[in-house]
Amino acid sequence: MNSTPTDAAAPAYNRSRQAREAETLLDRIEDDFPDNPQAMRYFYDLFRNVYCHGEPVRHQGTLVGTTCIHAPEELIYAFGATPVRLCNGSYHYDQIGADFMPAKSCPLVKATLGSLHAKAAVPNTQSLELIVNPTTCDQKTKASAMMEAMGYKVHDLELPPAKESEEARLYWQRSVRSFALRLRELTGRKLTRNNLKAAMARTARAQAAFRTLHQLRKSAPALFLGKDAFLVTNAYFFDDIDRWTEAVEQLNAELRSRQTEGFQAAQKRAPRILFTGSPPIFPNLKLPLLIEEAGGVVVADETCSANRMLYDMTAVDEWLLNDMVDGLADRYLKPCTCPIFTRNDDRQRRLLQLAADFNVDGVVYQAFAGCQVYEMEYRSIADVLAAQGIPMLYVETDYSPDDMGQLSTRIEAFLESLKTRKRNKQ
Amino acid sequence: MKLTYSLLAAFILCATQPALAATPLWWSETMPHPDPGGATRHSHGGPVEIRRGVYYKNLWLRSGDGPANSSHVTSFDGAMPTLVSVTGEVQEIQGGNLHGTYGVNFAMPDEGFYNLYLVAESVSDGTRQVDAAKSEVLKHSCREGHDHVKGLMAPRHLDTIPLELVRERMDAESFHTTLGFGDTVTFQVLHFGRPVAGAEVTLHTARGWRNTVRTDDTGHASFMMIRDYYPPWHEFERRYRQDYLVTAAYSVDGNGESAGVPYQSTRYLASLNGSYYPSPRDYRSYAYGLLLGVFALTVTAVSVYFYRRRRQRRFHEVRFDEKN
Amino acid sequence: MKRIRDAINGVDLRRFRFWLQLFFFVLLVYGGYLAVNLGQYLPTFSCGFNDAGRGGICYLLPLQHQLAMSWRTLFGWAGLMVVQGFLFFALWFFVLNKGWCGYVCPLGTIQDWITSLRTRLGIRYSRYTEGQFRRLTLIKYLLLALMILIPLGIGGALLPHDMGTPFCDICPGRMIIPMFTGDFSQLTIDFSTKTTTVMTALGLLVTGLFLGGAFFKKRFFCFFCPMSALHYLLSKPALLRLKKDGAKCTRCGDCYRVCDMEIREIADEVKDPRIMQDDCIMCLKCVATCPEPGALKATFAGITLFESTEQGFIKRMNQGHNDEQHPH
Repeated sequence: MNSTPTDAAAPAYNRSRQAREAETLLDRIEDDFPDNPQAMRYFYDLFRNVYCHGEPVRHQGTLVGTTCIHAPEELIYAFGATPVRLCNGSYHYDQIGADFMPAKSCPLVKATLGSLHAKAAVPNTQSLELIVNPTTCDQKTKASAMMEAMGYKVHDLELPPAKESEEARLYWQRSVRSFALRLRELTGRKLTRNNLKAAMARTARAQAAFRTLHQLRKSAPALFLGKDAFLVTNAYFFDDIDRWTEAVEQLNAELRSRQTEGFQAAQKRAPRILFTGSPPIFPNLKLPLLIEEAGGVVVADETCSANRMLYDMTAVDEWLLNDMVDGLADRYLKPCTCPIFTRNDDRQRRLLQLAADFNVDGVVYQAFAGCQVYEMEYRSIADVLAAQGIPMLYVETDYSPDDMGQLSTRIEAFLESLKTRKRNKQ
Repeated sequence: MKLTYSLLAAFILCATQPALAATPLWWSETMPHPDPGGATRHSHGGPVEIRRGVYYKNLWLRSGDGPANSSHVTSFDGAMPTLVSVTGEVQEIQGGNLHGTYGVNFAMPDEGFYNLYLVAESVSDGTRQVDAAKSEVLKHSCREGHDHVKGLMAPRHLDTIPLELVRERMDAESFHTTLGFGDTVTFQVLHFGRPVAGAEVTLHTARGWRNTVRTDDTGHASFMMIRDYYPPWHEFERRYRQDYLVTAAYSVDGNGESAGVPYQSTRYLASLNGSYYPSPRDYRSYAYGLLLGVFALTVTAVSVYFYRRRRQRRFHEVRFDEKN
Repeated sequence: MKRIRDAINGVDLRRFRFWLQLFFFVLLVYGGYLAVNLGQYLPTFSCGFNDAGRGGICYLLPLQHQLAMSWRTLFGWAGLMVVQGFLFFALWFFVLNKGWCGYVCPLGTIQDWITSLRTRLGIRYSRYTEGQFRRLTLIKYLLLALMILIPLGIGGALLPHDMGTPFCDICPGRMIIPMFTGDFSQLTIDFSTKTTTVMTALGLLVTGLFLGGAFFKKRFFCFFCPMSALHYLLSKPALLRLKKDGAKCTRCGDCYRVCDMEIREIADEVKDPRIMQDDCIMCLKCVATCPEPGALKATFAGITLFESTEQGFIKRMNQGHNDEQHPH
């Protein structure tokens, strides 16, 4: 399990199924579109190195895997460890993971389990010392025992199924505090005010960079494409946080100069799409790519692989550990629009606001087959969007490439209808 | 025999002397009998009557040696009382029967101190006695605000008064300041507006204690008010108001004639009334105050400490009632 | 114009508040020495017992004083004066709304100083539980009612005269604020009557509780302040307002967690734009800690003075990291 890949294994790597899957996708992302920003080069190369050449994930100190956005990364950094997000988007691992989960279950969970089970998995996280598994949806919750059975140390980070009540908030704060204890045991280090402050500063800087990128996407016509945005946020899963932040800051600078030059990354008439639902995770960028290949542009998203992961920021009143840790806990629970919680209204309001802010023409709602919570929330989201007159395309799909043809037809039709609507409005 | 004679002479002297010299006339705020109508209200300047928002002061003329042994003067035929208003206006006002004895009633439209004078003169055994009773009364209502107070604090006198007692102001005195036990009160004695050294100044307390000092070169005499109020604790009254009387006597040799009667010397006798209260020192305690404050602070701190300790045991904030 | 806007929205509110509070503290506690006199209708705890230094007088003192007049006077010509005083009070209040609490009140400022002392000592703050909050928040209305009824009772000769200013008797401001000008005379128990003994003893107990409470709990006393209750009754037409755009709110709860008064509605309420609650002290910390542009704002007569911005949030939250060297 903990054997590191030998150099001899590397050449064979780019001929493996998962490497080919990644390669194909990266080629599409890079080559099918003209005018990719220069600063994206960093991300394209990063993905090629990690996914196609099997380079190990860079990390300092203990490597701690997380299976959901609810694991407070600042705490992990504060203990001198490095977090890596294990959520996987590979069809190859989805198939391996099918052995663990029922047939009709979420491909993301299956792929995550599959990659953990696989030898020489991508991204290469073989030196994983702990997996933090927040008890979010049923499938992730039940994955705990399976990961343990594979020989991993797992910490169940208990998340309440509701977030409105004060009890839930306090319960979660306690969960986070005991997670800090677990990290202390794991690393043998002490949590100090300065460590946590420094860790929070790193994350805050990354979040600030993300927010700038996010705001730049408001620009119409679009300055750059959603497929690149997803690639950038996907890189956050495993990239060194400081290098990532610098790369994003460079990208922002380039986009700003594009803005002043009046550059257009998509046609003026291109329908502006808000992407929501189950998260697109590399290499499963199937749906955003199809949208943009068909002439749309994804200008904003509401998914846990991008916006939901990086948008919300932590507020602290007093820079004392007690307040900082509780503040972190709040940031990971309160603004979260994950459908696992009892109420849907925060997500509804967030979508409406994003649609308004980004001047969106339509919403694409992706639900992974087996991702019940998104499937269940579909109706209530459809209702509020319909009430506001925002068209929505609901797509149920999974990691397999089989439905590509059918999907591209539906998307083209949807985009066409958006264009017609837009014309009629004018 | 000779002894008997001299005793007799002494007796006659003693019997006549007080009628002549030792019974000053003075103004008092005390009614001749308990207030029947209940029209009197308490204000920062003592008892007043308020009619249509205007304050009226009642003062009665009394004669005697201090508040403890004085009687109200039933009638007075001498000169009219003189009132000096806050604005400095001097006017004679009409005295007369007020609730049974001689007194005056005047309006106090302005905020500040009003001075009331009454001068009387008589000759007996070749000595002329000039009585000058003075009262300094304050009109103050908090509704008028307190911004103007400083400019109105300074005491005033009249140069036409033969002998006048002026109460000096205390440090940071305001319209709300009261004289308390243990406080020092200073008077200046003026003879036609000029300070008099060596005048005999006597302070009479409400219970008949008295103290006599002579004025210094600048005409000043000071007294420390004594505490003469010792009720049982539960009857103690913080606002227990007592009157004092201060008199000044000053004699000048010189022949003259008053209303056709010749005299060889003149004795001036000035009076001024005032009031005093128990001192906060008698009923306020820092020790108990600080003790209580520190006690409350400690209890708060200790209970928060233990509360926090207790809360370290998890999930104990929900308690179940085992009773059915 | 936009540059000025950005500068205001990016202000370091903590520092701005500290200096403004200090300015008002000096004005109201030492202003008397500089011949400052703002009258006796101030809607904030500028304690009248601070004889020498006060730059104005807290309205609660004259209010209780006036209400203790005999009924004959109060319901006669003097009643108009009470109404007039109340109008002056209301006019002062309308300008700043509850900003009087968060920026001007000397007792509030003292509590903030105690809080920063605690943070310096590295001791964590306490919060009430939801149940405690709901019960305790009613106390200020009870105190307000008593503060009006007791003097009225005295005016009607139903209660002893020496309870004339019952709230001042137990107000910690009366003990603490005069101390800043060297007057310690309020720290005594008055044994002259039973009533004064009880009231002054209560006052000192409250003062001890205040000092202890304010150490552990941010703005401990404001929660019980009858002035705050009186403010809230008048707050609807005030010029300075706190507004919330619920659509922009992500309910992240950042505003709630920094709120000294633990007001949950600030985070959870998304329908009513007039978000100010009765416990609010308008410190505007919530606006400063809101990362969503335009979600929270303070307006004066309809003009936006200060609103939440992303840049402002990032700048302010990084203040905490200032003493930290940026890792590479």
